[in-house]
Amino acid sequence: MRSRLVRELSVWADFNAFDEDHRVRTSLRFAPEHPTEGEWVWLHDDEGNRVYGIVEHIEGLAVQIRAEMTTWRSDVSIATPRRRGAFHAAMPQGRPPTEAHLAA
Amino acid sequence: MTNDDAIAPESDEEEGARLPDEAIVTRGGLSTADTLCKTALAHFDVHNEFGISVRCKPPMTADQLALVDPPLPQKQLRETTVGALREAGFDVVPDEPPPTHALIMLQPVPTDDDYLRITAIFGQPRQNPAFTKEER
Repeated sequence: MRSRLVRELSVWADFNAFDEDHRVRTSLRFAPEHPTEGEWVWLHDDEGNRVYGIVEHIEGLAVQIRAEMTTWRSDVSIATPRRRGAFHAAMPQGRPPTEAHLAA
Repeated sequence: MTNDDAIAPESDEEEGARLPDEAIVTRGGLSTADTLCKTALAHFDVHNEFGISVRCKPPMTADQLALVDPPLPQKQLRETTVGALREAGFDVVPDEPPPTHALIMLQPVPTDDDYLRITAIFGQPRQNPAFTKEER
């Protein structure tokens, strides 16, 4: 099958937030490179789950992506949740995030 | 996807009604503190408030909630109750649509400790029956 990806972008998403049409609204704050509307991207979480999706709408950091669930992959096995990880370590420990964190 | 066994939630509940303490709350995936922090920040960017997506619709069980269309796609799920979260200071409010969607509400500026407390409230990860049925 010919790839629809011109460039391979990934966007973090919480797959608990899917609507009935497998659309998810998430933030581009965790995306290393921002996609454009109509572009196909990898949606992924931090647990080995990923799915292709098409970017339907972008407004500021907010992005709406519709997932194509036939491409869903889940490669994780059951494990004990980590207490802290790299992302958490980057946040201010025990203090509220600053304006800079919220605007990042 | 096939959702032959998906259970339709009851829809006669008054919108905005307070969820009872005994109501089951579930999330697909491991819901680590890192993930909860990320999803709360993402929710802030989209909705301008800090919240964490969950499924909750009394009297449904976690397995029933996982099977509501669209089924939770992750291999695992974790569950707790509204009361356990409220006892720790986190309210859970209905947020439909989509069906059974609810939010764990956070203070205006959450701290790391909030995410650690929430992940500790949820039970251990177990197999998600919705994932098993999809045979991915």
